Amino acid sequence: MDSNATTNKLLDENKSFLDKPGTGWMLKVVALVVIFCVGLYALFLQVTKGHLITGMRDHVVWGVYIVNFVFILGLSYAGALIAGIFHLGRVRWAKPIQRILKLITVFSLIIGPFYILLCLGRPERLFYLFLHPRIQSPIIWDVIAIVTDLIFCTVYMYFTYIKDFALLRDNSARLNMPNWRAKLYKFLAVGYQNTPKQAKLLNQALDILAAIIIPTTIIAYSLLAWLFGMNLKVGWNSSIFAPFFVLSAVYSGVALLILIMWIYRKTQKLEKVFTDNHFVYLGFALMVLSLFYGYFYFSEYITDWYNMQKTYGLLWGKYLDFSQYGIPFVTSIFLITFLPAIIIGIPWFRTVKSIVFTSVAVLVGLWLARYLMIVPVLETPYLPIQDVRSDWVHYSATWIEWSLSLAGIALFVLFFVLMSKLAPIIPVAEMEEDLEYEEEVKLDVSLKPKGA
Amino acid sequence: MMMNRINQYGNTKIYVSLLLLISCVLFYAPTPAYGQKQSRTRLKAYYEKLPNNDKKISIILTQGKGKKTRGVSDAEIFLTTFDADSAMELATLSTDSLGEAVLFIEANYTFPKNEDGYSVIDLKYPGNDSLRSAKKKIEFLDLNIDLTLDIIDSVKYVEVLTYEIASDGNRTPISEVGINFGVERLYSTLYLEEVDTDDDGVAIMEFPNDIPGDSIGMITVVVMLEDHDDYGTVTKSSDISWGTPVDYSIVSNGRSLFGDSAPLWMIISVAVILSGAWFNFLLAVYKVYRIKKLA
Amino acid sequence: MSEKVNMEDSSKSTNSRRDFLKKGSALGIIAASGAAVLAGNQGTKTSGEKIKVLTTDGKMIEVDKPVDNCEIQPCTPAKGEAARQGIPGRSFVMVIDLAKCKNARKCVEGCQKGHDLLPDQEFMKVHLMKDNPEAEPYWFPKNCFHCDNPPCVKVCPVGATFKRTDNIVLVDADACIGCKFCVSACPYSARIFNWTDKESYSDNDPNYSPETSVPGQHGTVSKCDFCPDRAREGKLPDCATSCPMGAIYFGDKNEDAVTNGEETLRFKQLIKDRIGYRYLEELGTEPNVYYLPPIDRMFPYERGFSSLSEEQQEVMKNSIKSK
Repeated sequence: MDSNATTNKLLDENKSFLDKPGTGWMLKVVALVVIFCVGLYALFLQVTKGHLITGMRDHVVWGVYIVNFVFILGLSYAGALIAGIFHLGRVRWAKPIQRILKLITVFSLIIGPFYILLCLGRPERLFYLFLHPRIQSPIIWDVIAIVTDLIFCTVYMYFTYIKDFALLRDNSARLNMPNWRAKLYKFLAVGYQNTPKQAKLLNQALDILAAIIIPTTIIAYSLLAWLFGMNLKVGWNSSIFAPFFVLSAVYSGVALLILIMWIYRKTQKLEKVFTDNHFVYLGFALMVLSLFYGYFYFSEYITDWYNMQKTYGLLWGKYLDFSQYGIPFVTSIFLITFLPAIIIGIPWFRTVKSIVFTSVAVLVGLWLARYLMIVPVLETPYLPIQDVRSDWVHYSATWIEWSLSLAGIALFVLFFVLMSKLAPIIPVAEMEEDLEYEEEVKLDVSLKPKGA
Repeated sequence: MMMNRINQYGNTKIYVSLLLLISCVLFYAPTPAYGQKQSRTRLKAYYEKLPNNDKKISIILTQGKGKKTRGVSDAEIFLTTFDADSAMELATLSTDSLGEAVLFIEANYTFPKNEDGYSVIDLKYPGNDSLRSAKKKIEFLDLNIDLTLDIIDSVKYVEVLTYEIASDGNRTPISEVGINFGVERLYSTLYLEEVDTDDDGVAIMEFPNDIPGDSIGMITVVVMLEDHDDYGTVTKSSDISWGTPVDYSIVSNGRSLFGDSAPLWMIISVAVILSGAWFNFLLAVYKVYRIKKLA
Repeated sequence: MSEKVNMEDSSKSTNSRRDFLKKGSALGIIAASGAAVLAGNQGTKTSGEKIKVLTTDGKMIEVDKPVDNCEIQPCTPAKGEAARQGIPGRSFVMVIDLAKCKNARKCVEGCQKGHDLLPDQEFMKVHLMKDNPEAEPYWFPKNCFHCDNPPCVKVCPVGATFKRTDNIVLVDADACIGCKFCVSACPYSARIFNWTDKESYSDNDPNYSPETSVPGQHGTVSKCDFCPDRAREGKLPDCATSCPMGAIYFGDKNEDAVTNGEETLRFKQLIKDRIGYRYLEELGTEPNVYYLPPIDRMFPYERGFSSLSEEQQEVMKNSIKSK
């Protein structure tokens, strides 16, 4: 590859991944591994002692695990969907965030499915899914969708790395890379030399993948929604579920993207790459999505509430009862549908930090919303639960489920930490093409004026 | 097989008391016999004539009262029968875990009769240290039932003739005994009607046209005199294809959401979507493969 | 047999709706031909027990007592692929007379005993229902409805639960991966999960049959099985035989007869006369359990509280209050 001055400069600015792992980095890894191991211990207990040590019971058969499953896969599909749309739309300002999106996609796609395995009473029989699959079952739809999506997205992510690997290969001598790195990059770059023919082929490959990944993720997340929608359950049996799930996936994906962008900007001093504009644009996307979300949320619930069929009545009683689900219900509605409009919509509050704060709040709110969409519904079957055992009536997650939830987050972070040692967190070679254009079409919005 | 059936359906009393017994055995905590007076025991016996003319004596020995009633197991019951002037030992039976004992008597065995023409069986349980003795006497007459199945003007008739055979071979029709008409079903006999015999000893039932049979309409018609004071329980049955045929060829669930194979549209959609996606995917991979070739 | 049955030859002989050989009295066969015939009689087990027979010439002989009635061949519970087929020609159906139920809970206990369940595992549950604020509460025994359009079977990813031709929906614990999707898909909360391991549980037990649900397996789903193993012996399900009130009728819809062990009624006539209904008919699941409305009840519903702990009574009372 012809590495011109700008590219080299950009690479030099972002070569911290080449640094020898410092103590800080090692500490991070150790801490994450410890959290992960606590989760493994919890898993060991769950497998040996049975599911009774979790909060799951005959009515709430899934609990926090399925909430995590839905939430994490949502992040993944969002990553793929947004990346695909940005790529095909040739959205220039979005180029620096492309890599983060792809990493989110692949990492969460690896971690998410483990949560459904945690719901299995006989995980060792998992291969039965492939021996005697019933295509009528939404679980099989999910298996097919997740496997397909994982393969597509991983390969897509790798393809977007090819140019960078080529760049690194060409600069291995100049940057005094160790031998193993040079060899690795050479292997991974598959002989890409940025000849016009090669560049055309690579672009075609990326376009094709982006184009199929968009529908794939939409279908995959809709299938996931039908995991619930296909139940004869009040609160789930709703035709709005699939688009609603896709929308909330995108919403959570944007929020997580902002958070990760900010973490990198802080820790790796990437202010020049992840500019204020990025936060503003994505913040606005967050706000628009929050309004859409509010619209869906309202349509979903107003129709149920207005008709107030008997079992819905019981469910609503729980949502509105402050001794039951009232507080999380109101909190999640506020965090998801109002907070972004207030903080991002009003210029006075609009700062990078406040946008990041809103993103975190949205993530929390969306997790809560998923919980409220799943647990209270499972607690409200047609037939009244007349059980004296309170844990059979009300679900409450135990430390087993919480520690395994934390383990998932730890693994997600760990993946990012490890990946940040392999290659730059921004697609250097891609951006080089862009730096030639100084003028950018900017939206007429900005952050809160300094000193205002 | 058959004996249990008749027992089950013909003699509901046994069945009810059995149920009681089972529950009592479950909840009764046995108390030591020492220092206590002997418990009362009760002996019950039923006489039954089976469709093939074999006879059956069912016996049940119980102790305790009301809800605490339970069967006495491994007890010896002595059966004695009488003719006009002498007694003769018939059999010795021992009860099973539920306190029950059964004696079958082959069709052609001739019971001795007393001067009134009744066959008499004395049952005796001698008792032991903790249980009092018990006695029971049953008397019965041998009733014959002839079962005729006939179609007249396309109406199906089940006709029953009841009679006794005197020692000289003369037949005496028996009037005013209630005959139950029914058909055998999987778990029990479905009784359709009860008709009293007329002066000629005849009872007739018009057989309904809507009783499901097997695949060719076969059914078992059962007629029964139940727990009569003189005749005990007498049953006759006969097979005939008077039922409506039920198609019971195995119909698989076919292609359905709950069947073993999925609806075609579902398979086609999945195949089309997946093959479309994978074709494009492989195309993209091929392009990168060509990059490698070009290097 | 002239049955028209589309099955393999091996099962043809077992398909007869009624084994007509049995019409000759069992005793006739036993007494005339001796125990040898009986022992050779396929599918009829003999116990060590003997029964006494008085022969024509006044002699007392002993013959083996057949251990069970064999109403449907084979007598032993079906296993593996055979268990997925269903008993040919049968269409099992249950009718529960709510007017007779006094919450004696004997059906629950009988079922638990028959299926080796812990006291807190109930295939049959008895709910206290109150249909509207004015209506008197009533007891509502509820097992699996063995739906003709079963939502649970639809969602099973591995075919571990299946709909048979005799109406029965069974779970094959050997095939179950324990995903619990069927538990949440059932609108009647009929399914339970085996949350803890038990000594009597065993995996891949050679004696296991989906028809008996015994032995259970840890980490799999189980539920009411309509006792097809007992049907083979001509016995009613455990719940039906345990009910002291005779509230539970069971039978074969193809035969148009249901029985509670004491009385046998024509199924269609019963449902027609008593306006039998199916719970949540509007869900379209097509249940095979019918209820006779709780009118002209034999007991005040309060009497049903006597079989419950005070805590349980409280839960029940609160449950109908909140409606």
